[in-house]
Amino acid sequence: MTRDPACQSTSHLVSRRSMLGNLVAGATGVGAIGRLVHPSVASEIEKKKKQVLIFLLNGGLSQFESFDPKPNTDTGGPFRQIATAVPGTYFSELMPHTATIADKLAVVRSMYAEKVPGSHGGARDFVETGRPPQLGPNPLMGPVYSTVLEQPSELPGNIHIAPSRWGPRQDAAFLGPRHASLVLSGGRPPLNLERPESINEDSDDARYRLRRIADLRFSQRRRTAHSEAYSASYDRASQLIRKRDLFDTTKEPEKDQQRYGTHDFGRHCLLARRLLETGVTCVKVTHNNYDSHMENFNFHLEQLGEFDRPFTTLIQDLDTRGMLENTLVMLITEFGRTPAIQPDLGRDHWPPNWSVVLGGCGIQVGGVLGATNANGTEITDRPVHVAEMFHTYLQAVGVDPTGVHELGGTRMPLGAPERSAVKELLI
Amino acid sequence: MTRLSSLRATEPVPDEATASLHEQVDQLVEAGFSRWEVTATERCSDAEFIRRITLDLKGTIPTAEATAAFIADASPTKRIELIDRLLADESFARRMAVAFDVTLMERRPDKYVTSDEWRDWLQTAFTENRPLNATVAQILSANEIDDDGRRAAKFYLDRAVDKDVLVRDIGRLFLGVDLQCAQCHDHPDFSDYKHEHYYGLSVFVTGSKTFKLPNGKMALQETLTREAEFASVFAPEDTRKTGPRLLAGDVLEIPEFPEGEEYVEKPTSKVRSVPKFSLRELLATKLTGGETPAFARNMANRLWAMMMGRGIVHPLDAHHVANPPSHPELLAALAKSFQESEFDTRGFVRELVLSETYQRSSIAPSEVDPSTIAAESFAVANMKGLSPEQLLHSLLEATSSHAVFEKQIEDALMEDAEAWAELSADAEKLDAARDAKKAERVKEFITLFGSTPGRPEGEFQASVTQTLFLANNPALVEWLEPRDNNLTARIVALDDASDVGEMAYLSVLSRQPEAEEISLLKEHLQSRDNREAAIVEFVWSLIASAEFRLNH
Repeated sequence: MTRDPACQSTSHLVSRRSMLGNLVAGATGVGAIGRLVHPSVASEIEKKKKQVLIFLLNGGLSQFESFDPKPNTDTGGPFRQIATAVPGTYFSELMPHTATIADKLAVVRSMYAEKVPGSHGGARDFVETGRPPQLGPNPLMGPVYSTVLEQPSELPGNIHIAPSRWGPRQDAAFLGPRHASLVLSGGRPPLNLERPESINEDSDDARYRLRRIADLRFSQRRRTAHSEAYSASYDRASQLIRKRDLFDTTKEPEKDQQRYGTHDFGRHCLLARRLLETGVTCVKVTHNNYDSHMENFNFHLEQLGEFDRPFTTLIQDLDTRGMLENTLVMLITEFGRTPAIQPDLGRDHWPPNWSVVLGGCGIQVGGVLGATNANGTEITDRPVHVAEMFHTYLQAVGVDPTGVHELGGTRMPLGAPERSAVKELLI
Repeated sequence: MTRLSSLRATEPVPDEATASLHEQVDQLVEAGFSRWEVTATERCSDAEFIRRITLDLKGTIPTAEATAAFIADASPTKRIELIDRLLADESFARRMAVAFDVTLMERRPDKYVTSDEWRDWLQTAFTENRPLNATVAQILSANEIDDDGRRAAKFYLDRAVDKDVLVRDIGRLFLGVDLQCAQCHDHPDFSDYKHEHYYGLSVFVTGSKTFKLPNGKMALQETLTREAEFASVFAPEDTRKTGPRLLAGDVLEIPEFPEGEEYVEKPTSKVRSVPKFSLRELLATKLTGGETPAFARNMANRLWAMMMGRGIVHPLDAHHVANPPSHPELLAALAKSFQESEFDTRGFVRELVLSETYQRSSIAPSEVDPSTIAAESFAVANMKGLSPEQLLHSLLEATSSHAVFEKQIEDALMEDAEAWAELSADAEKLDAARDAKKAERVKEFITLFGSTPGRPEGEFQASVTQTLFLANNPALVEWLEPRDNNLTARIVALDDASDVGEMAYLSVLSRQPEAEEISLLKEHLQSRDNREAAIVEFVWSLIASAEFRLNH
């Protein structure tokens, strides 16, 4: 649907009315709930505002070296397994901190996808959009959450704390640029947030004021949907410029900076906490360098060594601050890694089975779903398709994944119509 | 029988019996007004017209001089003359090449054929005004392996000849129907999209794959394929088969060949596989040859939307029973006329822009709340967001920053002193390096302001990332600072506030300022200590206004 509240075209009015009807009839509302339903219903929903925290381990996390260890087998590699906070559940010894919060997590060891494109980008799209990329492009989760969970706030709905050299991209597909991720490349503030030296604050205020007057004149006796959307983006930009401390983790207590670690990923996790606390709907943190075609064990030793503590610290902080029950947490990766260990100690791409971890809002935690055989070469219990997981991610925050995005004359299903959520993972 | 290109500046207006297409357009649009309870707004002003038509046919805003001259021109036929001048200019072919590249490739990254090669090929087709169906037939058959043929094959090649992507995009872009849901099952909502339509279309491209030519370039080859087997995801055991067919059309015949004689030459790993009967050729012929009405209808609708800001079927790829055209008779008349003119693109566009419908103002009639006027009534001009290319060219034009832009490109190249020394010794290499750097800047605009690769440009939206760029991007800020005889440099030299206003409004917004705007400007200039900074602030406010960002 067109996400512009000012648009008064009759076709939109119809879809709004039918949406309201759906909601009253008891179906889960899909859409910009806060705006569309009766104010009293909206405030009810607002009280239970849901947020989402996504960790993307980019490159393909090895399930063997993390959540599905197979020590002392031909495929297991050199690392041991360790006990976790959940009796009978074991993680790789590379995740000692995460092991202590296993009771706050749900581990899926039987994730799979078929016909996965060879490229990382394609496989990532499959995981993050719930559809094969051949049927795409479809919007990534961040833009979807920013659309269906949108809050009446001046904050961006969806922020991606990305590795350096990861620039802005149009990842919202048919939802449009308004919902594209705001990218913090290398954890730095958004591009062009700082005004050039030649323009001081006074000057900035003056030019914004003139701009606003020009828009008001132009909008007289014209349809206002476009110009209001345009003006709103300037309002949001100037809000963001004013709130630029939002992106500055040195404003957090020194003690916390130490707890999270001063390396990039530690800073990025602290930044994620800061953004979630301010009310940003969806925050994604990408951690790079898991594509271990060579030296798989050294790579994972190093990368998970960096990941393990800040990740655990963030989950614990959300928990002690009472935020975890309304924040869905997910740890995802584009595919697993091969059981076979290559001569140069690498593991290649492996889409037939890998592990995903969920926690927080709406999730049945403290257990493991699905299983693989003794040396991890195939799934032996409860295969979970990536598209089923996409349904689950939405259902967990109270969004009906069998609903549709209304886009003018077209309706795009939220989740793949032939799939449904994984009931075992949901409360 | 309708006539295209009928109206010349000197000709008398034709009577009803031989109504030209643009007159039919106006009659059929007006006939719809009662349905939406609207009345037509007034004709747009000359200023609004020259900005709109220049953006639509040339891809940029007009120069301040052209605008001033056009407004001053007293000739009653000046609009027709301007239209004909713009249509005859090479920049029209370039603009159409960019528009069709964006329509057909949807900003996908280059794979085997560069955007430059492909756009050059398209531009030649539009310069020569080749029939649009012939151009599309060449794109769809893609059987030639010479340089020209390889460029035309980009549609397949740069989709990696992926069958699912191709079937969906052939349906959407050439026939106006999105068969995505029908890939896995009959469409749940629309009874006219069947599972077998998807697979009927897929047979045409199933046998196609890439072949590396001896010269290292990639081309297409084909294995003769006769049918596709499919099953619904809801009933995977129930498999069915279909031969090649275009949507609800009949299954098409494929001639029989004695075994071993299906190919021109026995295909091997070294010999490109070329069947004696090509299904791509069959697709090209049947889709564009007149027996598939969806093709002419889709192309007419796309060109209409390009000019009118909204399709008669809208969205453009959503032609189905639940989303009927706003003006069925009009769409039929446009499709018929386009087909009868042998797909004369230039003539067809000319008729569209000659219509009163195109030339209506975007300002609602007085006493009418603009929000009550349905966009699909075309009673008021629909506004369009500038495309990334239009925005970049218009920014450079508005601020007269072409020289500053060239300098920025050169500065960027000079950053690497060693490479620069080498470049400055070789004019040809330097030109190539300049072009590459410019392409980088254009790409930056496209990434920021364009659609997701593989998706059509949607309704106008604005993001914070875009807005921060327009407000604070250092390169763009330089275009606005007085230097190299750019707009602000010339304005700073003017003493009188009215002259300042006149030059700024003509250059940026392509119109004269109103009296109230001049008084606002005077107030602003008086309220600021630094006159130069005040002028930059003022010009930026026009650049950043909705009036500039939209084609209205």
